[in-house]
Amino acid sequence: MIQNIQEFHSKLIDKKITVSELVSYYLKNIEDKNQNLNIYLEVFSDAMDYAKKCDTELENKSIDEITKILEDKKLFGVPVAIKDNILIKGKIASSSSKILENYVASYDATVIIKLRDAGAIFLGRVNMDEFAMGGSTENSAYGVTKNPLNTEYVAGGSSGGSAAAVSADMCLVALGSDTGGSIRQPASYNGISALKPTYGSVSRHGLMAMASSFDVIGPFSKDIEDVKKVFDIIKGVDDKDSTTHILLEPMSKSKIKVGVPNEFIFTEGVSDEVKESIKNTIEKLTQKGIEVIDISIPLLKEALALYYILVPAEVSSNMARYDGIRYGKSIDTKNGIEDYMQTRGQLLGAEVKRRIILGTYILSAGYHDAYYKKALILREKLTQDIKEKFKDIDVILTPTTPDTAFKIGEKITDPLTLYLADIFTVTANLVGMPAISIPYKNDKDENGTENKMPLGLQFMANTDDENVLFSIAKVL
Amino acid sequence: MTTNSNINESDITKLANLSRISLTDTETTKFAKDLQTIVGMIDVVNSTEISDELLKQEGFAPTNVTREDISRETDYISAQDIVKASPNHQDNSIKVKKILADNE
Repeated sequence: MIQNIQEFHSKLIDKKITVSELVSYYLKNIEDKNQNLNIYLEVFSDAMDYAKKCDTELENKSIDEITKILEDKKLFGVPVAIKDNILIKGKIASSSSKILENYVASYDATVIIKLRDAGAIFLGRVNMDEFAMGGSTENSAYGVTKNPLNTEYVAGGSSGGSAAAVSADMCLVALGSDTGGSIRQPASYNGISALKPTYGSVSRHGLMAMASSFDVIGPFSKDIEDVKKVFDIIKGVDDKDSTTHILLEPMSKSKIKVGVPNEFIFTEGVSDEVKESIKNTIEKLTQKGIEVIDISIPLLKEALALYYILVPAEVSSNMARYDGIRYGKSIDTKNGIEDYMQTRGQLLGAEVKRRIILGTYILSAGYHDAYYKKALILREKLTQDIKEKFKDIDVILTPTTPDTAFKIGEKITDPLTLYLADIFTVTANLVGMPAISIPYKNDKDENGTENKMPLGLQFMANTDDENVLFSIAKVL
Repeated sequence: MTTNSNINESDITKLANLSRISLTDTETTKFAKDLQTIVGMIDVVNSTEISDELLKQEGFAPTNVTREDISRETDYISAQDIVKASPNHQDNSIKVKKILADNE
């Protein structure tokens, strides 16, 4: 129906559409398809009221007046889906966990306040892997989200609901969170665009913490322009999150230079189709006059190991707060300690328990030095090695994932095979740099008879250099 | 993939206890197997040499971000709302179980 915010706002100015009409369109889609796809966990009953308020605000206004309103409120009337780990005061936020099934948020996340101030309408909260741990939403306590493009396949994760809501036309844009690929991987599996911003460029206040030195909130859309628009609204320093920083001035570049870590991509475990997508993209970029060079970053091979040391360590600490006393649900037993054991044992899912236990192992005496401390040092080394590369190049191109979406149930029994799907995405979180996933369009297959699942291309840039990512996305 | 770690079920039981998580026998068996393969994957870090020179470089020690220790007024969140979010509360307090028995 509506492809992007710009089209929506132009039609509002021309009075060809109302906000209520757009919201109704999405609500109808949700009503028709959600039972099968399992994308929304809850649709907010007040969404339509907000839509009507928006329409009232535009009533009897001149074109100039409407234009002014839309300039002031860049997301005026834009229906948004919110990942279930971002707090909206007065609404349930469960992180797709049983332990928070009935938890009602006590305050608004900073990103929610910013979106609301910009005029956005929250349609509902969408499914995810429990506490953002996983890559398929199969770890949700409320069932898997099916890929709208082919329901035998996963929608990806952990922000699978956010990506699927966009691709299934159940919202215009969505918010998700990314700790090791949780925004980019589902975007890739759903054939849409999404951004994992620079660490500390978007406030994490009101985002349920998974791994605090990795987590970041970011937007999804079919249109990269919308991704930029939403990012511009949600970014910025927040005194409620001390890890936010004053953003570096965006540099304008006349020429973009692309680096490709070929030795890391053209290897075992990456599908032929994915390798082909990189070859074709390099060709396409070169044809457009963009310089593409081969780069070598030997530590990339260790990124996944670093990630699965540091993240479980942080997870085991962050998850301590779900103790059956402070939030959500509790299992009542004979004494306090048994309450903890049973509440966490019964109400947390397998993957969350596995990562807490893994993190406890990594942080225990004897292993702390061998794994955790060493990983911290290598994380810094990796960051410096990549910073060094960015003295010469502007973006690093890799696939978003080593393969297209997998079938539901295919990988869930073996956690390691699922972890391997994160191989290309974890680096950006380890080094705190921004990365986008954009759909790969294979020109050669355009009249294709085969119903292939989509592929994503990932571009990573230096800290606070999101602008160059938007530029390269427009080139392709 | 190497599996040179030998995490066994009693390790898992101990770790689960430290993590305050009760596990079923099936979960304990499964997690022991899972952690063996995961630790096998992350073990590459354990065998990576780190030079003394690298350790001396700037930026390799974590830093804390702190603010002045002064109380700040907030209007966006109320103590009442936070207490209300807990499963067991009374008046304006979170209710917890006794940690000492009467005769101790």
